[in-house]
Amino acid sequence: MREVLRAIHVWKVYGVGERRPLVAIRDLNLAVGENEFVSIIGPSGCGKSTFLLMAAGLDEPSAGELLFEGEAVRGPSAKRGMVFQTYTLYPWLNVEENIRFALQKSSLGPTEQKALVEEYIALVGLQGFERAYPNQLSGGMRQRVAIARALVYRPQVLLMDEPFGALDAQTRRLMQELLLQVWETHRTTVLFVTHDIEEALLLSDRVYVMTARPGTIKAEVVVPLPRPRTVEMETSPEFLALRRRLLGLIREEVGRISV
Amino acid sequence: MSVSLPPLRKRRRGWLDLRAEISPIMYWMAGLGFIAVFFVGWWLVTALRWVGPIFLPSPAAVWQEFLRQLGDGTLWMDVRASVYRITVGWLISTAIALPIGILMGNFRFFEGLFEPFIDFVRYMPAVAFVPLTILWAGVDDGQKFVILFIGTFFQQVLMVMDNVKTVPYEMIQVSYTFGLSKWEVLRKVVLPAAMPGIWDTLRITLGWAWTYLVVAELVAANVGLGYRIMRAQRFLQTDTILLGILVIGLLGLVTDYLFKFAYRALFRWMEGRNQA
Ligand SMILES: Nc1ncnc2c1ncn2[C@@H]1O[C@H](COP(=O)(O)OP(=O)(O)O)[C@@H](O)[C@H]1O
Ligand SMILES: [Mg+2]
Repeated sequence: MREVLRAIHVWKVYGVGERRPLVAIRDLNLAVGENEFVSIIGPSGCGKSTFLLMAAGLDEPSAGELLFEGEAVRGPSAKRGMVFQTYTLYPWLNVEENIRFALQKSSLGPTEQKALVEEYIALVGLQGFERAYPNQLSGGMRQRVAIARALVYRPQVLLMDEPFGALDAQTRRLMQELLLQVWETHRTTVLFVTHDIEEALLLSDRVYVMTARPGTIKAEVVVPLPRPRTVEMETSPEFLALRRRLLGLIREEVGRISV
Repeated sequence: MSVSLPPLRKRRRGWLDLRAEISPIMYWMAGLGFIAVFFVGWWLVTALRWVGPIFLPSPAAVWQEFLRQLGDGTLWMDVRASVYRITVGWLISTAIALPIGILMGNFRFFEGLFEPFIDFVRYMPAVAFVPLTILWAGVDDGQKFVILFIGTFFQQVLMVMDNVKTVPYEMIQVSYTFGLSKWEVLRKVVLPAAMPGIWDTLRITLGWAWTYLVVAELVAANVGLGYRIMRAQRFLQTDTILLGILVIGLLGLVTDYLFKFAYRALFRWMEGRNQA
């Protein structure tokens, strides 16, 4: 499998040179292969968001190397898309315009762009809402727009930072199913951050478990569940066994958090 | 789509419950009613002679003064001169405050560069600058512009900076992942996102400019609403003073509502139940 992203001995220290620097990430190593869906789970504050920002090129490691397609990441690029938890839709643009905004640097002509935007609106099930503004949409619908917008320009890897974390349980379920569907058709490489064990297992090929701060990789769990996956699998014995194992790993870390 | 509805009950929520919506009619009637009560109170106090006409002229006397000034053209001349001064003074202030406020809101360096100085100057009373501005800018409209600028600019620039800072950082970060450059993010994301807030700042600071009108026309003026008030003070013409105050209030109110209506037209996308 071709490798898309690799972290080699990555450290992140905030407040370097200050009296009490904060070590957020300590000697982290991981790799994401092409067309792979990989999750990172870990207790809150362990450095998941920090790592994703560095992978996107929106922040820099304090030590170590972050490689994207074999080359060191230097700044953000349209090759690495990002979906945040909230607040990233442009409220002055309607759904269609929000998604089209991501195509500004694309070489496609206007008619092709329009067709592509329509295709992705259909993909996330937002037909009929093309002209709606973000303030008129529910939280789940807004994240659908954010996902369509992050996919439409075909980045090589999609980085998702707890994209469903702000949604209610029902909506989160629906969004997980939607993401499964989208992923089965497009097979984009995804690095997905969550603190929801079921979510990680349902969606991923592999799950990295992080330690409490300073965060590093504590364990790597392969998820051998067959694809295409459905929410019903969550009651299967394999799933439950994996769940128990991840729960145990996370529990140790949550207990270790120093307040 | 027509649905046959069961008989509907009226919502029983009281109009004085916390944050309860009320009908637009009630909303407007309350506001107009309060103003009416104010005028009736004023009329009563003067009609019953609780206060002498030298201290508080009756509404009728002010109305007489209004008709007189309307007839001989004074009012129109004053309004024209004052509106012109306010508009130009405020526009100059805005033209400079916008770029500087935007720089300060986006770049910590410019915030550090300007903020201590602005914080220092903005507490200085504009009225104390009057003698200096006459030395600097003479006795023409230029001096009025300078006073209105001093009264408006330093607050305005800080408010614009804050408007820019309310743009969520995640929105900026995600824009970089579409391949946009720093300047493109500034132009295509930060500015449109900050626009509604900036528009409100423009509205509020224009209101403040009106309150500085009297200071601006304090000396070296021979026309203008503020000048008329200051002159009437010398002759104890309280009806003229009150008329001037009321006209300034009314013009301020009108400009405020123009901005509010424009806001609704410009930023329709702000409406909705879910604030993004
Ligand atoms: N910009 C920053 N400056 C200083 N400390 C930060 C910054 N961003 C995050 N941190 C700290 O780094 C740690 C990891 O944060 P984060 O990556 O957001 O955790 P997670 O996403 O896993 O909840 C936290 O202790 C947080 O307070
Ligand atoms: Mg986080």
